Amino acid sequence: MPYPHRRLSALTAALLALCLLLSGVPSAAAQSSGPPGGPQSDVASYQIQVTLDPQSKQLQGSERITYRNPSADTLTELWFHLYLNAFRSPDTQWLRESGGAHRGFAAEEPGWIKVERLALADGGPTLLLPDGGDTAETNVRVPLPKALGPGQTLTLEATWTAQLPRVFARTGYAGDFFMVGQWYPKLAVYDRGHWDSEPWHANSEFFADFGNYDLAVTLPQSYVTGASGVRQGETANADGSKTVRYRAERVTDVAWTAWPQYQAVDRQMQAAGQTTQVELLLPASEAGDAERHLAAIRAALDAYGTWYGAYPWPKLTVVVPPEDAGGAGGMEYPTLVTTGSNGPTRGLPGIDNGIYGLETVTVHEIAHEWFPMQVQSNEAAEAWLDEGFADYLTTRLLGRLYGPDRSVLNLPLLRLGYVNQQRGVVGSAGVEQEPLAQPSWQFQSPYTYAATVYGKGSLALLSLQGLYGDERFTAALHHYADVWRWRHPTSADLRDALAQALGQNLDWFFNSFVFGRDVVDYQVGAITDGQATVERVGEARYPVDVRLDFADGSSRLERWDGQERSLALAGDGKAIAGVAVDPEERITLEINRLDNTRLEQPALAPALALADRWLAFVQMLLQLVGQVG
Amino acid sequence: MMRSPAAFPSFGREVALGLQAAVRRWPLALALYLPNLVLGLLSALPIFLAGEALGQLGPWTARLAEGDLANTLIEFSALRQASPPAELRAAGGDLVWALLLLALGVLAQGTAYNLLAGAVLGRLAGDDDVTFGSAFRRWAGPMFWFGFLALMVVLLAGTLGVVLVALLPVDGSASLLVKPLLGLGWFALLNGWLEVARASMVARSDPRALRALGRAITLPGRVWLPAIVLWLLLGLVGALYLGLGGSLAVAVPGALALLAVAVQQLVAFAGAWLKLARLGIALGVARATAGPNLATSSASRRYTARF
Ligand SMILES: [Zn+2]
Repeated sequence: MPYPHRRLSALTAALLALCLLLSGVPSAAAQSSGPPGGPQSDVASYQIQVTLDPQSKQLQGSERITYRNPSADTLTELWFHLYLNAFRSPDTQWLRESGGAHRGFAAEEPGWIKVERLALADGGPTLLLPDGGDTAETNVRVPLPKALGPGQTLTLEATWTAQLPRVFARTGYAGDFFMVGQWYPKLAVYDRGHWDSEPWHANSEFFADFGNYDLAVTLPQSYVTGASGVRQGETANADGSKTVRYRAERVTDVAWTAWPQYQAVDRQMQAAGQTTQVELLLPASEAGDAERHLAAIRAALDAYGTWYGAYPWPKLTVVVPPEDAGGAGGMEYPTLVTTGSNGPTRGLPGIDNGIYGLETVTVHEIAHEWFPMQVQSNEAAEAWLDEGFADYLTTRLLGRLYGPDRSVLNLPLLRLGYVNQQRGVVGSAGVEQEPLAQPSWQFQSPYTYAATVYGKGSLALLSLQGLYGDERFTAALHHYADVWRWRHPTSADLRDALAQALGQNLDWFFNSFVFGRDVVDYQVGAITDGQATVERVGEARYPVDVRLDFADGSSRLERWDGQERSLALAGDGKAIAGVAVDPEERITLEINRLDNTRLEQPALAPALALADRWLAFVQMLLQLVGQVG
Repeated sequence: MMRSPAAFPSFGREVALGLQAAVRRWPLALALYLPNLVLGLLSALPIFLAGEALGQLGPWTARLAEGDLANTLIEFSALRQASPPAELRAAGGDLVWALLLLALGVLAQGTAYNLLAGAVLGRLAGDDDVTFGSAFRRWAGPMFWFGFLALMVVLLAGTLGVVLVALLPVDGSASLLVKPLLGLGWFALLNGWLEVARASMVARSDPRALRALGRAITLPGRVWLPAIVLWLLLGLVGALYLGLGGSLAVAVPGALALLAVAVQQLVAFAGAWLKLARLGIALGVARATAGPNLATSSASRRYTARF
């Protein structure tokens, strides 16, 4: 569902929505208004006490919520997320959409959350929840007994019981392991004139206001715990349990994990001029990879911090779930991420060190500590603003660490770069024309969703980087992060912030790839009579370099604005040996590079070299045949 | 150094003699190397043409030659929606030819080996007056039939072994090491057994292929253990050769094509000689297992006298 923007009148929004519906054009091409007044880092704060029953896998919780109306509107209702209800029964909307599986992990046991009581604090009136709080909904509307004016604050109290599912879709248990995410009654976001009333979808992630969290977890003393925020202390209880306290400031969520068998590695890291306390929690079976994780964590904190502003919290917790809890891996929460291992190749000499799967997940999740954990875009409505960004940061960092052409695989006979992998994913999923800014739940499948928001999203940012250069574009994204930190930007806000920083109008780019369905596709045309032609096949008018190579060994580079359908280049009396569009391969969005170059004469040396490689391969293969029998 | 004709032949001694024969008659390796070279060149020619065509469309040929396969081939997923340029269609046609010639090459190599193995064994085992041509005429037919049976054995027993190894209850990274090793070990034993069977035909001057297979299965108990150790050792040497030879061939930068070709031919010839050595050793094992009555062939006596 397209969502309107701030300061669009209701009528304009309705007309726009109608036009969009009729035309099939995706949302949000309208100009954004720019950032609102000040940072919104203290809108929704929570004090949560929770007790874990390891046998029933249930949570008994109570929470006190302080909510400040951040808008200029008067609110007469609140909306609450009850995410765990997505797993209540096989026929929930979420499980129907997902087909009962998420990233290859199946839903095996139900999960749910029941709100026993929700009231205004300190003896205030009880608030009415649908079905008395025992609802199948993942997002519920709660009318307020008294309107909440702009800037006014209210405090709520809630008690609830939650059943964790067998670990799946980021959250749940596996034996005595617990990863607890999306687990408490949580306020939705009121932004740009409306509540985020969308239910939780299988492809969707999250959206929340910033605030401060005080978390107290009571559980058996044998458990090792980790959580968002900083550990405040631990008290032993008379019944043999313990209560562990955490506090997290300026965050949008808290998640926690508990497992008696965690090994904890603490490391103080200096990164981007900042000291960060890093805690790595991992199973003993993964202990051999601890240093690899720590090196990746340090590299990520340092690079992202240098590029977009230092990591703003005192602590980062990184969790490697045990092998039977893979569904908990690869997820981001404020100041806490879960990652994974290389799986079957773990520790395999000569192989495992050249497979960067472990580093990829770790640095991708840490990238989310910038986008969206500081710059909280709506992850469900415009997932590319966090996933595309995280993968773009990952691509940059891994390319710097290992080389762009081997940042996924770096094996003796096989190498693969992250950018190339993304180009392959986008191509094989056929999502070249999918607009980046579309709600997660409108994608056809989890694959087209992921290929678009991760793959095409990061290729789009890499293409802009190619156009404006690393330094300028990094500074522009830093500017966007600075303007929108602790706020809720949209794609249009990103466009305006980048345009401001670069001093360029970026409407053409956003209208083509973010809101529109254009593709970049250039090709070389004919070379005749001392003249070469290059052509624009795709709709997108992307500024591109064109290189003419001459028979005398010299060459000439030109920038073409791509406005016309074709461009003729004269050799100026010199014989043309070849022509190449985008010879540096800067436009990672280019959908077909196979027609971007043409040489007049075939080159002998590469063909000989290739034939020799083939000869070597065939001779070895035939030896193998000859060796048998 | 003469031994009593009634005694069992010594395993180690016969094996050493077989190896010595392979060293002495190293030019026989040419017979195994030349088909490899000719078939390789036949298949490489269309790849050269494909490389020329593809090279006109950008850096793809050079990148493939540098071994950057995955990054380069991923670009070809763009063909899903674009109409390919003529050069690309030409390169695709050339690639089909190369693959076809490769498949035929595999068949031809297998056939050539089976036709030539008898002649090579005959020269390794026989008098200097047994010419390559006469040994070829004598053994080409029986060995071709043996090769067919051996192929069946490899397909059946090899598949069975692979399935059994795959079913082993070993998990995690250990399985990535253990299972391939077990699989390789199984093929090494299978291969060693077949080679001894083949060699026993020449050693006993008995062209019956089925009987040769049976003979190799029913090795005398005293040579079982050394034979198994020997075959595993040879399997290891073969695997090392393929690994090192392959790495060496790839290590030379693609730009130095002529040097790369030269290195590759040395590697291929070394592989052919290794095969020759295996045949010599198989001959030794076949003799060692032949028993006192048949054992001390004229040939081995002669080697004893010579060395
Ligand atoms: Zn992500």
